[in-house]
Amino acid sequence: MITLNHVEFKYSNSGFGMRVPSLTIEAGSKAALVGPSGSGKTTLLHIIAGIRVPEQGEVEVCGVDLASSADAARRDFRISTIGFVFQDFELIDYLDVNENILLPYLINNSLKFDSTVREAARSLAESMGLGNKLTRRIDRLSHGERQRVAICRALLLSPRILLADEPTGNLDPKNKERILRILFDCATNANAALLVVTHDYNLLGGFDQVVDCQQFQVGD
Amino acid sequence: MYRTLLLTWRYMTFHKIKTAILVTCITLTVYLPVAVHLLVDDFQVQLMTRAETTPLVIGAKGSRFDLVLQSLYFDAQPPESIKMNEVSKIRNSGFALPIPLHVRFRARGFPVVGTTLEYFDFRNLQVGQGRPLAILGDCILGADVAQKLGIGPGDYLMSDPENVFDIGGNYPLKMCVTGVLARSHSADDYAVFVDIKTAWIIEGIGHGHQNLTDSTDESVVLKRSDDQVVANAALPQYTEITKDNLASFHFHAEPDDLPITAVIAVPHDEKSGVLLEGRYDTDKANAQLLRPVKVVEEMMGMVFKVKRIFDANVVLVAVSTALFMVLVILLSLRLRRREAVTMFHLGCSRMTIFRLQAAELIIVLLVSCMLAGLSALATLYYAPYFVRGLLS
Amino acid sequence: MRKQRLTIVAAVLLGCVLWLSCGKQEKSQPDSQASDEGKKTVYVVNYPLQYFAERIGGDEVAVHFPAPSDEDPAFWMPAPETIAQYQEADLVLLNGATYAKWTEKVSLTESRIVNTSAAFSDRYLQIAKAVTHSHGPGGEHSHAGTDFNTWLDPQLAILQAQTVKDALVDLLPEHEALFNTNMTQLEIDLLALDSAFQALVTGREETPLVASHPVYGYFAHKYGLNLQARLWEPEKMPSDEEWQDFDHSIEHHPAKWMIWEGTPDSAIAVKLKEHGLDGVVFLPCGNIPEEGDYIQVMQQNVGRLKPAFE
Repeated sequence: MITLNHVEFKYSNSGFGMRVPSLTIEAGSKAALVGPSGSGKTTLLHIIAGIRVPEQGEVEVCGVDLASSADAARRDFRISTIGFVFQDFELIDYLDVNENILLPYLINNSLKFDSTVREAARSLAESMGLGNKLTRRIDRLSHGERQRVAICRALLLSPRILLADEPTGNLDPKNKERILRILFDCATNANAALLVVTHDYNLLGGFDQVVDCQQFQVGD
Repeated sequence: MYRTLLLTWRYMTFHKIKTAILVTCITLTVYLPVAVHLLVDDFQVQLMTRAETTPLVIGAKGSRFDLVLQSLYFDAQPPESIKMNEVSKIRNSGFALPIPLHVRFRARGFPVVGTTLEYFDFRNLQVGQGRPLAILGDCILGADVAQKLGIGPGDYLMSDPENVFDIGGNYPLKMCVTGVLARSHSADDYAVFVDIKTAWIIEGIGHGHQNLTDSTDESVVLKRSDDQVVANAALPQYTEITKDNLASFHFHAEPDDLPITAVIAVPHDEKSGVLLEGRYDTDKANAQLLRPVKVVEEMMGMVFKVKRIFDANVVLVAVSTALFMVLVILLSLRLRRREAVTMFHLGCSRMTIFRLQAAELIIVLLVSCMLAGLSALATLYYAPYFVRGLLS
Repeated sequence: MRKQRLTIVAAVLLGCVLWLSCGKQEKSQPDSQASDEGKKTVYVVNYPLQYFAERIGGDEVAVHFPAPSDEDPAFWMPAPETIAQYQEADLVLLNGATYAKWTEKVSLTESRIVNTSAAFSDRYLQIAKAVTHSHGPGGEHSHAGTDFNTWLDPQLAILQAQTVKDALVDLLPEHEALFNTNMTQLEIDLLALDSAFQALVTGREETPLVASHPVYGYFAHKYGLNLQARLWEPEKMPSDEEWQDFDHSIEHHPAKWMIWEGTPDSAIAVKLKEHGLDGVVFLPCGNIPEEGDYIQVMQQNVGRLKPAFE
């Protein structure tokens, strides 16, 4: 369950700001965040993920009050609750596919890193059709393969909320549908809520909820 | 720790060239001054050890450095000759054991040291293979000479002609290798030793007679009559001392007039040394007596002056390397900024991100220092050979 | 000084006694290896030096003279193993005066070499005739140049023995007293020998004599003998040419005796007799004698020479 109330956010170095009077996304539901470029879709995702903190208002995600949590608490929250597929995937070029999937474990010493985790990563990769590419370098992968690596990484920690920032950008319609299907299936299988940022209005059919971010925009 | 190391290792091996350049720069900056220090140290130790074990050197007046280096390392320009009577004078003085040295010729590039058997006792040189010098024409090789030339007891070694264009010059001597000295880690490893009398034969002062009338090799004979044999130029262009012609070898000089390049004098005690020094401390003396330790100290004084300039240079190099490092680190941080953001988004603490980036630097520093240390160890091991190469 | 003169007088008297008693000295055993262990080793180049060193050194040194008995040590060339023994010796005694030229052709430890005749190098004699010949396994050699049979002059022998004694004292200073005593004994024997030779020739110095070999230079010089040397070997019949030359020379030098280094072949002795000469053997004793020691052999030489001076 994601609840935002009277949230106000402003970037200090630009004129952009947003105000969200009220937004609720039910647990396990699939929501699309739409709106033109610069309407604050990514910012909203970051607020929900606890990466950014609004100046005012309440943000409660899965029972955690993110607006008043300390940095460390929000990090723990991200690790335990959020799976994030970034806009450019943000894979690490010097690690291979397997290590990129395992990255959350590699950078968080608080997580137990053992053979179970490695096994989980491998079966996840296999389920995504990456089983034979585990030791491949990232720059040798196709766009779609990279995207799947990024999704694997987001799913590895079994998040309760899966965030995807423009996963369909720069793809042909067939692949767009395919990737959405994957995300939907993954979220359904993991019993996770899915929030997808997109500006492709043709894809909104399968979502339970569509949030137009333009309404939240303040200033330029 | 494992995860940090794994990530850092992956990063470093992915950016191989950058890592290699960093490691090379730091390694060199650390290693070079250490190496120079070690080499200078070894140079000093070697020079000093050899000088300390060589109490007095007597030779012709002239360059002190040349005389000492020539007598200790057989390397410098041969000084003017002095006469063998200098040896008898020292022996008769009762102050010291004189050991004559005749170092004027080379054999396949290695110095031919003419001396007496006392030299081997004095330097504590042991014959490792074969037997010691016995007969005129015998030679024994320093360990490195034997190794480099690949010869040993029973082989022959030809002395180098003094000047190939000097037709009237002496023929080289075909010397018989009778032994190889055990390695002594000194200039003696790089020398060919002969009896001083053999050295005089190379110089042409002593010679034998080739009996052409008995020559079995008819190919060299152009014309033969009862009392005259005319030989062609194929007559051996070298001297060889054989069982048959040994008896005919003789010297065309009074024993006291025979030339030597130096005398090493081993005083029987401190006082004798001082007394002997006194004898040469006059204008009338036709030779100079040197204490190698003093001469080497003087030389080291100059070496240290040069080293100070180098040390100053090293500071500058270190500073520039440090600046270079700062630049590389700043660039690296900028390059890794995106990666750091990703990690932060994935819940990674800033401390961990800092650790990851610091680990790279620490590993580079550690590897560089290790490489520099290993190189320094290797230098320490090879310094004696290298320095001896410089000295001989 | 006075002591020395007394010694000489005593020596003359003692010499006669010794001569009559014909050697109470036991011939020393040079190869008693077992008892030599730990002793300083002395290597020599001829028998007289071996004898002097053994007499003076007594049991304190091990004296070695490795030349084979059938070689003339003057022209001997030792094998490398023997040279190595000389190299390792604590003391090497040379005769000097160009004796044992091999010592100039090998490497020896210079500081351990003592030239026993260096003290009188200004008194070396020269042999004029330069003829190469050969006898024994030593190969061809020449007697031209410096005469090296220095010890045949007992006075020079004493000087050589003195040098041997000094060298031994340098080697073993703790035994100086013993060496001095032994030297005095030896000197007495050598002086007695000198007196015996002197007594033999005094008044008969002009007697013309021929030597088969130019080895008696110092002996002849010492006692002012009228001696001419040939180059004959005891075992080799001289050629007709040599006999002619010999006849020619004895016309001006009417010798009745020829001094030989060894007993000549009977054919040579007979032919010599036909030319009016008898032979007498004077052993120079350069190598170890078959019987007796140095003093005994020299005293026997005195005895054998007697007829030549009667």
